[in-house]
Amino acid sequence: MSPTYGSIMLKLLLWLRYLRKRRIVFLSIAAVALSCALLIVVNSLFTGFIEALKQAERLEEGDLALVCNPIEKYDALIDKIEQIPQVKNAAVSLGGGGGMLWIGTGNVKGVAIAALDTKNTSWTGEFKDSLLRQKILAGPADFNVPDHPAETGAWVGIGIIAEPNRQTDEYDLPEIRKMIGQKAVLTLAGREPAPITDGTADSQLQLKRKVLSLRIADIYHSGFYVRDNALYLPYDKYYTLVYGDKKVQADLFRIKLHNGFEPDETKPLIRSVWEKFAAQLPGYSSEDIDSARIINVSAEGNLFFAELRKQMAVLMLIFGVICSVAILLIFCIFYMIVTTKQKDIAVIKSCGASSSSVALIFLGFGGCVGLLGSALGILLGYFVTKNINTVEHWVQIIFGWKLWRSSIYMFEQIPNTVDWGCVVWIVAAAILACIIGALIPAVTAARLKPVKILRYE
Amino acid sequence: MNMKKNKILLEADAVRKSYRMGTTRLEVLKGVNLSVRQGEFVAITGASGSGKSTLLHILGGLDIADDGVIKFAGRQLQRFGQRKLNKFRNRTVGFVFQFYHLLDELDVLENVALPAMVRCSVAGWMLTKAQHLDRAKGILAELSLEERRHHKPYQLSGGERQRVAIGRALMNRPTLLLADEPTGNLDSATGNGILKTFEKLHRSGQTIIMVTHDEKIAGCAERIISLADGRV
Amino acid sequence: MYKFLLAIRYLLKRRLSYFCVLATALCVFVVFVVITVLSGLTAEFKTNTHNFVGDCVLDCESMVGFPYYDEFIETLHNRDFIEGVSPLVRSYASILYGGEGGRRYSFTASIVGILPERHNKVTGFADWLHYHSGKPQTAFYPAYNEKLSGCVPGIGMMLNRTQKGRYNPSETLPRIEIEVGAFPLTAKGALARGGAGDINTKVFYYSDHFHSGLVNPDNNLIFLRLEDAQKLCGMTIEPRRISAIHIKFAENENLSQGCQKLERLWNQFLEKKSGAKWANLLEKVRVEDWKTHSRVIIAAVETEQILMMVVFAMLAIITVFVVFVVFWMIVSHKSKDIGILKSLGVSSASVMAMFMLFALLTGIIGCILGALAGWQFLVHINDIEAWFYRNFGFQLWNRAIYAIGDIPNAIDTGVLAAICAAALTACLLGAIVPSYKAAGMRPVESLQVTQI
Repeated sequence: MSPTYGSIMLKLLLWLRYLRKRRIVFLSIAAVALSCALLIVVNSLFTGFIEALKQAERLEEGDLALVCNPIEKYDALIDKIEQIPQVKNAAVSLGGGGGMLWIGTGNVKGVAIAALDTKNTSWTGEFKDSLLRQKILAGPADFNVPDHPAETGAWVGIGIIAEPNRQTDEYDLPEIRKMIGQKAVLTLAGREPAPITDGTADSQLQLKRKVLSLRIADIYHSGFYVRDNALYLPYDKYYTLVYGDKKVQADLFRIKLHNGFEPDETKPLIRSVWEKFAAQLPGYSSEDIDSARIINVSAEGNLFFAELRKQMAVLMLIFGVICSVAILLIFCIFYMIVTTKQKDIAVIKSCGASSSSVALIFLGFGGCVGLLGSALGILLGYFVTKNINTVEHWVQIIFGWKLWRSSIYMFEQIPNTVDWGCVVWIVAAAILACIIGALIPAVTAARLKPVKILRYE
Repeated sequence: MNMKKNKILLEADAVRKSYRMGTTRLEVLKGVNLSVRQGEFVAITGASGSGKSTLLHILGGLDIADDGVIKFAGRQLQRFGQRKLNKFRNRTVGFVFQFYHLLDELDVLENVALPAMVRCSVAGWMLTKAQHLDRAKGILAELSLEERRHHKPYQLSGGERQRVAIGRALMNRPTLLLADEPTGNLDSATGNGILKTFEKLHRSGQTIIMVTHDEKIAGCAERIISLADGRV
Repeated sequence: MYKFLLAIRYLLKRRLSYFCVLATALCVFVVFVVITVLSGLTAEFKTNTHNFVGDCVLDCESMVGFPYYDEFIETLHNRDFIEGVSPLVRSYASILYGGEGGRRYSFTASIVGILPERHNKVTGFADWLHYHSGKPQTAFYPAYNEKLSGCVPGIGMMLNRTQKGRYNPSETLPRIEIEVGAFPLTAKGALARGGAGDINTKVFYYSDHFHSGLVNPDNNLIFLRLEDAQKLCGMTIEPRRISAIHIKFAENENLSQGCQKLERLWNQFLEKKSGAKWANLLEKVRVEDWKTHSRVIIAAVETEQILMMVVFAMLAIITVFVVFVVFWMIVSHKSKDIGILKSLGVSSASVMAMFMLFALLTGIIGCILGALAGWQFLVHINDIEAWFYRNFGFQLWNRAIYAIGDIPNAIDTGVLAAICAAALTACLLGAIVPSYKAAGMRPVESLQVTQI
């Protein structure tokens, strides 16, 4: 047996003996496990929340926006854009506005409006799962009203029609379904130049009322609070309502990319497609082509998300500082082991072990504690994260507290995906922290002079 | 003969003591009988593992016998409650250990005065502090350690530490002084010095029971009790 | 006496105990700073929200509003539990106003019609004003021409905010025209015939702005006279309607009891009006206390407070843990001392008391250090944030997004005392088991030859 093999075996033997014999070491493993679990849960929930928000925003906003002078053949442009391999789908859009929706005698609500081009089934397909009536039907989602095919249909956000139960945060879906097919009237305000009648050069902007009679084609319930309080209209109907033009055009296109592609890197490809397409448009000058802008609207560039990430970083820092108390714990425990095991160390040294070898016993031991603790921490953190909604449900049953309300936190369910990237960092930090905690005791052990310890007093 | 010296101070009758070692039971004392008179200097000898220290601890109320009767000044120690036993150890008995067992955080004077601090309440100590410290200084002077009174135990030699331990044991004027291998950790010269201290105490009327494995050291005592195989 | 002496000596000599002190100090520091800042933000936010809404609101779900409000308000007169009543109209409007260089801006905003003096009795309206601060009766009279119809927009609509979160209004009131256009609705919810093009529009003049400290109103809301808002929204069309009634209770009135009394009065009124022509509109009215009315924003803050408490409870557990482990180790190290003390007649209870005293001293010093460090950090927290911003461009709360000024740092000694009490309790709890172990030690075992 080589000396190296022997010393490794000795270290392993001592690690195992120390681990088994000293109950206090289990406490330090538990402390590391708890700290890791806490950091994993906080990070996963916060990251999950930000990701869910990003995805929800992305559903309507996309990753990129193409702003240009109005064009009629927007379908053709969308086809061209969708041929770019990085592009998942694209759709026309009309700048977000608001209006008043009458949904019964004396019942008028203020609503935010979004427009969707249902011919673009790729884009609208992502909304289908949130439609109460159509999600179980085959075929693409549309705005057709059952029994009223000639009338304009709209998807009404569930929050416009009803309020969730204050206690359970749940909607009465059977009652709400009865609203499908009912009449509604949308009223918008717009500013238009007033006719010049007094001989002046400038025209005044006057307020114009626009009204659209429609029926509720479906109820939109995504679990995302902002979208559940919006009204969705067919693009062509909304365009005609806002601009009063029978010729439907588009000047704003939203583009979604496949996962893994950067918006800023895809911009040149889209510009190239746009320039080729616009060059063929009659009446489109080169100034018109150049003036088109392609904007990165993804959450990465969004100030609000940057703030959320910053808040998360600060929170993790606070928790990290708290968990560093675990390093103190490791230090204390190892220091105690070194001081009570002085004779052992002296004996090992008298048998020829080097100082670095002795130090490695304790450093390795520290690493073991870190590894075991973080492994337990991962299990605990994963379990808590995955079952957070169950925990919230039981808190509600036992204490009557509804901790997570969709109206406040924007989603009905707490996003509960474990961020494995961060888990790796947390585990690495835990092991490093344990080794750091064991460092001074290890150095102390290495510097012990056997003759001093083994001398009988 | 001195009337006081004839009075029996301590009696042990059929004392038994055993310890559990894993699954087996080790009987250390198998029915020990002895008596010690006031003012006597008794040495208990025996081979290593014969139960000398165990017997000493039981006589001093530091451990409890499984069976048998221990009487101190006519009172049975087994009948003492914990409170009474604490008081007994504080005021009636003084222990001197082989390894001195001084408190490292206290200096020499404080170590010697410790039994008095234990005896008094906070208010009591405030009122009698000067008196107790004077006594402690007096004991240290007797033991030639006055200049070392503000030193910490680690700053003393083995012999000096043992003398401090003796001083502590004498602080509350105990009726009985129990010494467990007091010279076991010292060289012969230092050990002789300690023995001289014990002899001096004995001459002043102190009752002393000393445990030792060394026959030569035992020879300094007035009477020797030999323990073999758990019996006298 | 020896208990105090040994406890102090152990504290000074045993370096291990410094870690207990450090752990306690760290936990007290973190909890103290986080609670002070979050409580400050929360309190400011809740106070501002409460101040904006009053104590209780009778609110209509529909933009149509509800009628017969004057009769109901009459029933509230001379009720001893009510101090102030303010009828209110709320709607959305299209705003057009002229900016610098003749540019005109058009956007949508909320409009709220009030009777300023009555609204001031229920809310802090007069305090939010700038040019007419403390004088609600003149809020809608522009200083440059009191005959013009004034309006009071939110400060964020009229002024830009500095990076420190401050506004710099001009000394004199600028003359700015603001055209407000709204849809008049009949009682059935249909669009009424209004002015030209079926819209009610009116030009108002900037008479003052309000700064309530709440992001949404300060950036999206314009106060008008109640009558003006009613006309714009068609609420003067029979029956006369309003959107809500805000109420302030008397000082000694309990909030939930006051709302219950109000709800009873409202239900009685509903019954009385059950046969009236427009009774159906009354059914859409809810009685809510200010917290329920603002639940979307308040509950988030309150839930975060609950979650923070859970986090702090975990901190306390970690402190207990550290103290437990350190004391366990100290007791293990001190077994010889315990044996000596017991051989000198010290009782088990006294041994336990000594270690508990040791833990208490550790906790006290840790609390003092943590409290001092926390206090100093809080006193300078805004300077620290300013330093980070100057040198690294880092601001904990970006003032462009968060409507706060300075980070709140008002120290609440009651809170600090509670934190210290909790920290001391954690130390004592952590030391209980090791102290009990020390008390239970048999002197004979700890004084064995093998003990050095």
